[in-house]
Amino acid sequence: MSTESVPTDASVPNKGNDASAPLESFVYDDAIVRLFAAATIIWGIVGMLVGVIIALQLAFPALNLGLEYTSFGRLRPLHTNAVIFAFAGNAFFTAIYYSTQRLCKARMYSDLLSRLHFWGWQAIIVAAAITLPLGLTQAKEYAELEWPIDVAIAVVWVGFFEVNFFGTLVRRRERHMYVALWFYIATIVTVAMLHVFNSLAIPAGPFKSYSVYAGVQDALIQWWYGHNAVAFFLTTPFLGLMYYFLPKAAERPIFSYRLSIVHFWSLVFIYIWAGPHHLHYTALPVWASTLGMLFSLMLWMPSWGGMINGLLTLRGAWHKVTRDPILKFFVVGVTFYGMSTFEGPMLSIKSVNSLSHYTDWTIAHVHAGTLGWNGFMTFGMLYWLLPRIFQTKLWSNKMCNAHFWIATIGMLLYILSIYAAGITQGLMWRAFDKTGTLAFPDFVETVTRLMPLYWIRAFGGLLYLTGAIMLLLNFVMTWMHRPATYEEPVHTAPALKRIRQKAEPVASRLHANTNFGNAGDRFLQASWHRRLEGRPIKFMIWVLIAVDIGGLVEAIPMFLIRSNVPTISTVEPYTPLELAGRDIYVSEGCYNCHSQMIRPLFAETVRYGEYSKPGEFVYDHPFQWGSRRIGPDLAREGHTNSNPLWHYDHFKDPREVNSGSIMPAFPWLFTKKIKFDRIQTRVNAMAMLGVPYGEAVLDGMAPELAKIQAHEIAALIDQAGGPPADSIWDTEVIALIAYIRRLGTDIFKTPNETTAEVSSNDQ
Amino acid sequence: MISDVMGSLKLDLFPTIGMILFLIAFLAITVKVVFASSEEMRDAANVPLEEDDEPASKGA
Repeated sequence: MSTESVPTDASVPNKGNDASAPLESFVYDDAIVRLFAAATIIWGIVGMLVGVIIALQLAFPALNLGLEYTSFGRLRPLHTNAVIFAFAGNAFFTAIYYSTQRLCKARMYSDLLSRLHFWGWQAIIVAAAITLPLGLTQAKEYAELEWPIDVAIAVVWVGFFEVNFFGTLVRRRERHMYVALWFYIATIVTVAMLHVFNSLAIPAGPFKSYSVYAGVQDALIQWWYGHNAVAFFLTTPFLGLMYYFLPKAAERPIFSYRLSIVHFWSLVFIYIWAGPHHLHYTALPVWASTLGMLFSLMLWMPSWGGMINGLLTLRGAWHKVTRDPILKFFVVGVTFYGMSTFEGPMLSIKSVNSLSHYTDWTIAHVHAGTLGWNGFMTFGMLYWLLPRIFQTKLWSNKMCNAHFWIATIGMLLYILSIYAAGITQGLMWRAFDKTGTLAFPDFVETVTRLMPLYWIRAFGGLLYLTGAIMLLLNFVMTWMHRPATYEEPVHTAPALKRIRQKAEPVASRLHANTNFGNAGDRFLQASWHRRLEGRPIKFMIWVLIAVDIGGLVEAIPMFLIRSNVPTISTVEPYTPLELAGRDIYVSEGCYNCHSQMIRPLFAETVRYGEYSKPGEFVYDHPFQWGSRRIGPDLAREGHTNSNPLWHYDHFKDPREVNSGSIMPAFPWLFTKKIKFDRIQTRVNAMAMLGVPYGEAVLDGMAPELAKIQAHEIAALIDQAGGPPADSIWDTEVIALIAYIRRLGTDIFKTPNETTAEVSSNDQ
Repeated sequence: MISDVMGSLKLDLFPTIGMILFLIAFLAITVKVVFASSEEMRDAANVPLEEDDEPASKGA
């Protein structure tokens, strides 16, 4: 870092600084911005490419290729992780590293920490790209990565990024912390908190762990995390980006700084409460999901305040939008922010949610937000940055403009087709004919109807990807025209005086000698907030308090009040073989297509059976309720379809059993052997979490029990006309069938006389 | 034990308390922005524009 007490010509304005203090000179670190910008584009293309592949797999299942590494269940988490954490993550790191230095009039606190952050984050992405196709996953949406990578994320985020960022704030030379920095602060502290608490797990091997939470509690924590990953990874940092780059591109200040302050505090306080709206009509207690719905509706207020603030920043500059593709990207991006933040609360309304949940409607909503808001804001920022960080003209403005149009058309094709698919699905699932029976009792009927829409969606995604490739080309060509050596302008600004020296008591403007009145007037002058804005660490603490309130209000009662999860005496732990089968279910990513949660809705109980109870999931580490039904719900599969030969044939080739199925075949499950030597460790890990495994924890007992049950299931398949038991008993498909046959069966068992008690469900 | 204790604490008040805390904070922030001086707001809004980082005119 360059910091000298010498004046130069490149001084920058400074308010609130000590004019008598010696000028300090400094140089911004734009090399780190260039690195993050390049990573954004490269990983964006990788993530979008995987997205197009899995979209095509839905329309054309043979593209699963019969390989375990390329099956939909394994690639879908790769897609979501790549576009969220690699593309969007690197995008806002680019924004933060560029804007923070300029807003603070200071180079980043440590070049070393900047590089450790960059390379550490890329290493994490590479680790994700390797482990997810290998089936190493925790099966918690957007938090799939296994525990060693989770530890690495915490180290890189907190140890490198957070320290570097707050170090820069502390050493800044601009008194006022601009509102973009507030959004960055909220992002950094809240993501750290969400990641740590959602990732708590007991390791059961180098790349295997079990969530410390189970069932309902795991679901609550997961969607507290999942929803706030949207809030604090895909929203707040991009709002910071908007508040900095939109005024820069429009060359005018934000429309209302007052509104931005209200926007910030309302958003960080309210967002954290909204997670339970992902669990309407599930086994989550009704008070929690209602609370989530109400706060989701309240989110309309700050979200639209932010959108209006963004769009009105262009007041008097709309003529520029017609000729500047960067502003076009920003306008569409902010518009999609408004649209998706209108739709989100709408989808949280229970009656709407009963139709939309588990359908492609949610997928369309998510992509309107990510493609429209995150994608377009990122593209706009990168096109604005390229001439500045490479110190040359953008290679092709025409290509930039073409990118805008092709991405817009692609996005519209994508989301409109999937909106149609989602609403079609929802209506077909709940349709009854005039005799009072389901109009579409075979689930696959509701799948084949969507095929044309799936093709349109894949084509739309391909167009969007094409636009990203055009950006890459523009990036590379601009980079190739860079100067031989980058200029590094030296800036100067006086050091900031310490707050305690600077702070002056605010005098009351009242003349009356009334203490209360004078105190009130001092409050109204709001010097308290100005002081807060000048103190990054205290600001961070208040943000943490704001976000913690919502989380604690929901989590404490859920964890500590027994009546929230009524126990069911007949519900028992999975057998060692079933646990091994469940691990395979998790590893194959079955939750990406199948839910395990029957909602107390008539159409669902008619289709799937008795609705799910909270007490059924007390041994589910992690829960597997899913969030989407590309295939049917499996919560009662063991009760409604326990035929082992049917499942054996179905896993081998789903289209042999049901010609309309789009489920991939799982040929590797028929050759890979059950890893009996790992079962004991996993049973013991579950026992550590409080699962009553009894004698199965004794050394060597669990694999023996598993082998006995495996022989029994293989024999059933043999007797039903399947292959000889001796040839299949130790293959992975047997363990998976054992698990599937167990699903949803415990509740129908006869209660033990001594513990006969089935708590009433208090939904 | 702790579950029984917590179960008898009427924790359904939690959301209400949280809501009141939010309203207090919201009102305080609203008061701040309403009574903040226009000059202060204008200065703050102009912070990003103080930096002259126009792109280079040379190149392709």
